Amino acid sequence: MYKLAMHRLGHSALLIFGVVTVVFFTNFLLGDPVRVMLPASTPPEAVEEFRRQMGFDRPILVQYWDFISNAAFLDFGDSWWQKSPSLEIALRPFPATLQLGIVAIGLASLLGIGIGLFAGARPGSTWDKLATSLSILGVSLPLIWFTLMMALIFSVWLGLLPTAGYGTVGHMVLPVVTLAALPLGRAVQITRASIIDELAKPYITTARSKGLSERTIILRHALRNALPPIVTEIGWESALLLTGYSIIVESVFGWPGFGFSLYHAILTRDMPVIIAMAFVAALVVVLINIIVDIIYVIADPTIRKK
Amino acid sequence: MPAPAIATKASGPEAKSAERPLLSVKDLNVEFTVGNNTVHAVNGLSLDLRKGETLAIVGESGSGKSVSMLSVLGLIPQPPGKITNGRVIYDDKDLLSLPSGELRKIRGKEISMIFQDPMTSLNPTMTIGRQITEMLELHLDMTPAQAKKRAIELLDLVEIPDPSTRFGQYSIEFSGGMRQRVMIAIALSCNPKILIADEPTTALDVTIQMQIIQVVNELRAEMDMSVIWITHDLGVVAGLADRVIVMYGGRAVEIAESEDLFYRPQHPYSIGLLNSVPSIAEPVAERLIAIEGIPPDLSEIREGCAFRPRCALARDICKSDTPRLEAKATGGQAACFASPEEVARLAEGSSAGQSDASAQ
Repeated sequence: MYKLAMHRLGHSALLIFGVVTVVFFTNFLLGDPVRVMLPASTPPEAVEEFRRQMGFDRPILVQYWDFISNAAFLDFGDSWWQKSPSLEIALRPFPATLQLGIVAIGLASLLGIGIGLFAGARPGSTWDKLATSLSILGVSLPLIWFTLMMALIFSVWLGLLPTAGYGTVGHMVLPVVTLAALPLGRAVQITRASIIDELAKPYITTARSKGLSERTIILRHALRNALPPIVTEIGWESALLLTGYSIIVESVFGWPGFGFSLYHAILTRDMPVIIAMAFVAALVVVLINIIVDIIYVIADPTIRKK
Repeated sequence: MPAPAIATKASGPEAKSAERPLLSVKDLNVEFTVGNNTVHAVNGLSLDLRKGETLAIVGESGSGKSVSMLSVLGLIPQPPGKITNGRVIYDDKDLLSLPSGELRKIRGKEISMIFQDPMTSLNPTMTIGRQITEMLELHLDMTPAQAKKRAIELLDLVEIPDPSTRFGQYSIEFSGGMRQRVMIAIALSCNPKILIADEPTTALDVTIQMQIIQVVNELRAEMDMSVIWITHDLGVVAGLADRVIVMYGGRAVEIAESEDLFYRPQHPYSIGLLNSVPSIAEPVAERLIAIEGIPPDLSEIREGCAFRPRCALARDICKSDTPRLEAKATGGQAACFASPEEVARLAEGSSAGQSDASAQ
């Protein structure tokens, strides 16, 4: 168990190192950073002078070494535009995203597992077909279109909810709903499939032969065994949501979170901030994986003994 | 006819046939439908279980022995399974038409089951102890503390060493034989009247098989239980059954006291089964004697006897009519058109054949 945990941590460190490295080099592929930072009318001598000042004239591997040895101490350099540490800029909007993400994933998980169990307990029934159809709709919605349609219908046409912004519960409704739709659909599908698999296993026949009710059988016996794929899926969706879907949804609804900031950083080619944000995103993925692993152990206590 | 050489036969209560049976299965029909294909797994099975007896149901894979007993407790998956006809009378109630809530009060409490594969029949993520206590809490209204105490006693009863430690462990920490003991402890936790054992020794080593049979046999006597033991192993039958039902193609083809079945089989299929058992009392024949042909395809209902294509005594009537169980002079019943003399000659002939083969 301890060995496994250390192994996982080593893996995670390697993953974060890899992500940061790849993002560092791809940034250079996107063009000359100096040209981005200076107005087009800057005279060539001034451009070269600035390049020397910033150290961009050095060989790329030297720059990389410089970068990575600072990054090891969590120093990703200052933002090119805001002149403050880029890690700070990357982290500042994160609580706002976390607020959306936790509500959206919580909602999607609870509803998704509930609906999935209900449908999986009666496969082939009308309720099952309804749940399955809706879940397919949920996972098939193109997020950008869905987000815009929601804004159009509920904010512009019906005027029920604010179009954009941050602060009240009303501001949260549309971002949460749009973020939750896809994970909800997936959670329903995975839960349904997993519970149907479990219910066909011999230990369930044993449980039935004991005289337990179907409800007890599902909640006490089958659910725990069905949990690993569901948790994996929700963990994966959480990572996508925090570091991917949020870019679209926060940009549309003007939610001052991680996605919105990342979008902005990419637009302005603020390289240190982009790298810092990639670092934060990788860290989030690693943390979510650790949480998923912990839930595995809780769901299946025998893992501890292996 | 050599008797399978396994000793320790349980001495069952005798001359109880006049008593009302504890459990009666009448005209049970079970079919499974997948797409357009319907398999008639059980076709008009009737049987009685007497109080205190051990009844063995013997037959090859697909003969309907497990399906019929799972149907008794409503445990076949429906769909694809469907019970199309029949009654199962227990305690003046028809279990097949009982509301599910009522049936659940009988499952585990009055009639309980143990299964073939102890590796997969226990919940892997629940402690062994909890899998016993949940029964006690459900059926006997015990408090968790009482249930724990009783569960440890039960583990001790099935001879699991160090039961209080074992109580908190998971099934992966148990060997196959120990898991089957746990299954027995679960099944017997509420002092059921009937235990249905669905091939519980098939997945175990031979030495462990005997231990499991002994545990069940001892507890059967101790707890005044009746046992239905489903098996394809005649050695197991010889060791513990009072009566035997031989099934073929979803029907009972012979019902007999177990002694009678071994020494005076009344159905050609029973004879074939007995001949295919290797005997350790006699020198080993070069080849085991197998029943010619293959088991019947149950996806269509055919007129006539299902065993006809494999039967040495087949005649024209076997094609058109289905034989019914009829009382035989031996006291048992068999479903065969051949005369007792013909059957006896077949039994003698084939056992002589086996002796010849073994003499070489």
